[in-house]
Amino acid sequence: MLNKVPGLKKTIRARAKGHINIRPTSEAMLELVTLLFLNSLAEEAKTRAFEDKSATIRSNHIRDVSKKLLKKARG
Amino acid sequence: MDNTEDLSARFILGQILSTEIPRTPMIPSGSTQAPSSSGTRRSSRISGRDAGAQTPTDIVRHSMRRRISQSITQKSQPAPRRTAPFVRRKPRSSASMLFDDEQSPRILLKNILMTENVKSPLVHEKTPSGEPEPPLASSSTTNTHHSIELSDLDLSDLTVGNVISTAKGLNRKRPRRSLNVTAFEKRLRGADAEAEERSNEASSDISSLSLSSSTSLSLKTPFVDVGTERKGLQRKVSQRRKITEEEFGAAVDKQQITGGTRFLPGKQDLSDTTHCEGFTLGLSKLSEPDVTTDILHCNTALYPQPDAITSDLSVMATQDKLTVAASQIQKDLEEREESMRESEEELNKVQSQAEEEGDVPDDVSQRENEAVSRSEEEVIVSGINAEEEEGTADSEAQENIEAEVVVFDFQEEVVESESQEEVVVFESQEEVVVFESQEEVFESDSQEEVVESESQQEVVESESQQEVVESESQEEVVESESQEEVVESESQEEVVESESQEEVVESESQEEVVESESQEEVVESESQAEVVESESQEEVVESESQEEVVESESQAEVVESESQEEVVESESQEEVVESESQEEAVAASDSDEDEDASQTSNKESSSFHPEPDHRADPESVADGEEHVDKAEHPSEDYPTDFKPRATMDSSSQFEEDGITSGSNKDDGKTERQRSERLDSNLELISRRSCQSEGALVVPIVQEEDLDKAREGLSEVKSKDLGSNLEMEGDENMVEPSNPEQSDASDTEDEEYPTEFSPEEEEDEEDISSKTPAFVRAKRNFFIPDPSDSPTVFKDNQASGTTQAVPAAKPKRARQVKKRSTARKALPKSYLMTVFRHFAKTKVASDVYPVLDEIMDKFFDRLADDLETYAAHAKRTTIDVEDVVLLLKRQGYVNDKVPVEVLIEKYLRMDQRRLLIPIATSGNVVIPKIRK
Repeated sequence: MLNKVPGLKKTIRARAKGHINIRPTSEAMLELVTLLFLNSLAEEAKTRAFEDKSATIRSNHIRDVSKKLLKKARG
Repeated sequence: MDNTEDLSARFILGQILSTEIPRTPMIPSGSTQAPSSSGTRRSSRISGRDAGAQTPTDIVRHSMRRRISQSITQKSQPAPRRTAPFVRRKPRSSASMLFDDEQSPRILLKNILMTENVKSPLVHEKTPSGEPEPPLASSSTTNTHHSIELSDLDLSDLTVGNVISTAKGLNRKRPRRSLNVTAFEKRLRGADAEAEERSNEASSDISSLSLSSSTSLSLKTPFVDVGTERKGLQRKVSQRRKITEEEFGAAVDKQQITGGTRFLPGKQDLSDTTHCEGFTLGLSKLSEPDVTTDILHCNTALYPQPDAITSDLSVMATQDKLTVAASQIQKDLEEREESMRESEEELNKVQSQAEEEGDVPDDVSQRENEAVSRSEEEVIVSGINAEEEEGTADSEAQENIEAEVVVFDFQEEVVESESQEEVVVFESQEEVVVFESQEEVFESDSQEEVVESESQQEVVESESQQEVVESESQEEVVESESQEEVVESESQEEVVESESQEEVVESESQEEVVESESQEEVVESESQAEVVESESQEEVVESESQEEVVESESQAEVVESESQEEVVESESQEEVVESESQEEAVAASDSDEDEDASQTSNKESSSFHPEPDHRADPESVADGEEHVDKAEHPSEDYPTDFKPRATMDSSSQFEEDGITSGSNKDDGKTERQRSERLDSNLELISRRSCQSEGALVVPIVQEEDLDKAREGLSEVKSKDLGSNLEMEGDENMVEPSNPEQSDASDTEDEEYPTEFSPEEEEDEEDISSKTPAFVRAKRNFFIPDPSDSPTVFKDNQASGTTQAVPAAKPKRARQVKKRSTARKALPKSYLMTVFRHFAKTKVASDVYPVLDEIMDKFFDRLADDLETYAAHAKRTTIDVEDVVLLLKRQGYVNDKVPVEVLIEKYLRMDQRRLLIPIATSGNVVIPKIRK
């Protein structure tokens, strides 16, 4: 959070189908969105890890959680 | 009494009183004189009535008067107020004195009343003029009045005192006290109020007495002692508790907290401060309540059930085979060693499983390839088991190879092999497990075994898509199995047609076939190995040779295995080897070439996985690896294509090496297939290549593919189209296996580990969808010999391999291609740091690929949504409101949580300043001069 998300704007623009511009303000908002998503992802993964009685988050935890979260983040 | 006499007495009295001076220091002694004088007067008056004044009534009157006058004189001590009435009094007093003797109660009362009041003398002045009789009534009143006055005067002291005392009680005024310094000081000190009060009271009592005594003359200061004040009205400030700011804040917070939203325990501090601000910064950004509290209270109903998760897993698995393959490759390499040991165990299982699975794989529609590969794997596995003699390593390797191949094909099988989670997810998860073992084998030097296993697998695959079995067996190999599986599946597909192979696979015949095939493959693999060693595995020639080898798998398993090992090692394309071996196995298993091809392709695809890990070891691979390696390599190269052919080819190679899973019958076919597949794998996804003719070249090609696959599946995929053409030109494109392979490849693609960059995934999918045409077209060229195609190496990296056909620089070429599409959205360092920060618990480093993939998907969706929103607003610029709308729809922003809260929480200051117009951004003593 203290660092900028490197190349976020480019990423979005690259993935956008058509031509699109991004304002600096909306760029900040994009960072916010990604941070929120990561936060919730981390949280869910942490919960999942707890369920597995593991203090460490592993990839399988994240994978289990990701689908649900991606669906939620569909907007 | 006689009224007349009374009247007369009254009259006389009244006259006297009115006339006499109110305050006449009449001495009782002088009363005689007075009476006499008064008497004389009275007598004069009376004489008017009666000359004889000594009538008994007169005497009484006189006595009465005397008494009265005496009383009057006694009371009226004060200074003579009136002089005028003084004169009058005399006669009255005399009269009163006369009556003193016999003072009737009435007269006494009058006197008393009169003495009490010290009134104005006006009354006195008036009365004297009044006539005696008529004004009696009035005079009586006045007399009383006067008497009061007189009495007042007389009884000044007592009455005053009494009056004052009574007045005190009645007086509502605060007791006036003189300034009690001590009390005042005490009060100032703020000593205990009560004590002070008591003391004050005590002192005040004393003082009050003194004061009261001198009330009239005392200074009336408004000061009131504390003690005297009514306690109820006293303000006991000293007892008040001083609330510190902290306490206040805490209390406020508590109130707000209890009444406000819940907060994560870890963020209480923030919440406290924010509470003060009135914000509900509680982490209710999501509609769901606190996660941690839920965790604590075990209220995780919101969270997905494990079943759902697993289902999700499977879905994910089906997403991108390429990614899976890629990841698998990585994993394969890592875990091969581990799986090595496991493979042995699994081999045993596989056999049993193969039997079981033989019945399972019915859903071949999509998974023909998979099945094929699986069957191949099974074959291989079984072959492995059977060929344990040759060396568990070999079998394992084979398994691995097959697994890899199968992986491509098998999308939704149980991901038993954790190492190949990706693989499993995609393809045959169960098989993946097997693949793991296979993968391990790959990495191990005992690729011979792998080849053997693959050959076995191929056989299996060829028979039935009891790939599950294979997959299981391949669990060991799983690591690199993905490709193997793919190859196997592909090869299996081909083999399936031949049907019998599956059974063979399961049965011991697999062994035979494998052996037979392996022999063939061995031969081929040998040649292939050489090729592999030269790193030119990518070359069609190599693949061809590999295919050939694959075909001959059954013959010289050992040999083949050796060669395969070399092949595998050459490019560290264990996957390729696997695929090749798978192909071989498929071929050896008498399974249809297709199956073999699929297997090999699977193998290749599976082998593709380890490719990334061992890209630069073609030589090393060649050294110790068998043809399987070759097969695998091409399969690796074909990860993009994930063609079953490749797996087939590879599997065939494996078979050659030693899988010989009863594919002897179809040795020719499988091997050819394998070879073809190998070639095709190079071009196409390993799967497809597998489906190819199963030329031995496939293994080699697969190897190449594997290498390429490592670099980037996406690239491979992208190249698949082109490479397919090229690759398939070789042999791998087995027509009959084409559809299977294509399917397998498609499935493989989907199955590929989601870990692959979504770009790759996308590309893979796209390519896979496109490749069928090419594949089919190309496959037509190739000889659709199912038996020959066991060595189909998946052209997973067909695209890559095509470019790298030079083989000299497969990796670099692949890299160049893939880099463009494989760009990650977020750098690893940033992503991991942020994730760790949010997670607040330990995070394993292996989450990065998963994370990356997730983020890619997320960004895709994000861009898509935002673009849609902007377009809806007829704008070409993404605006803040668009993002806000997105947040609302996602549920991060709702009535309780406004956007600003989130902004404040997550963003840096510079960003916040952008978003929230701040009137005064902090106190700046020296204001910045903004230009």
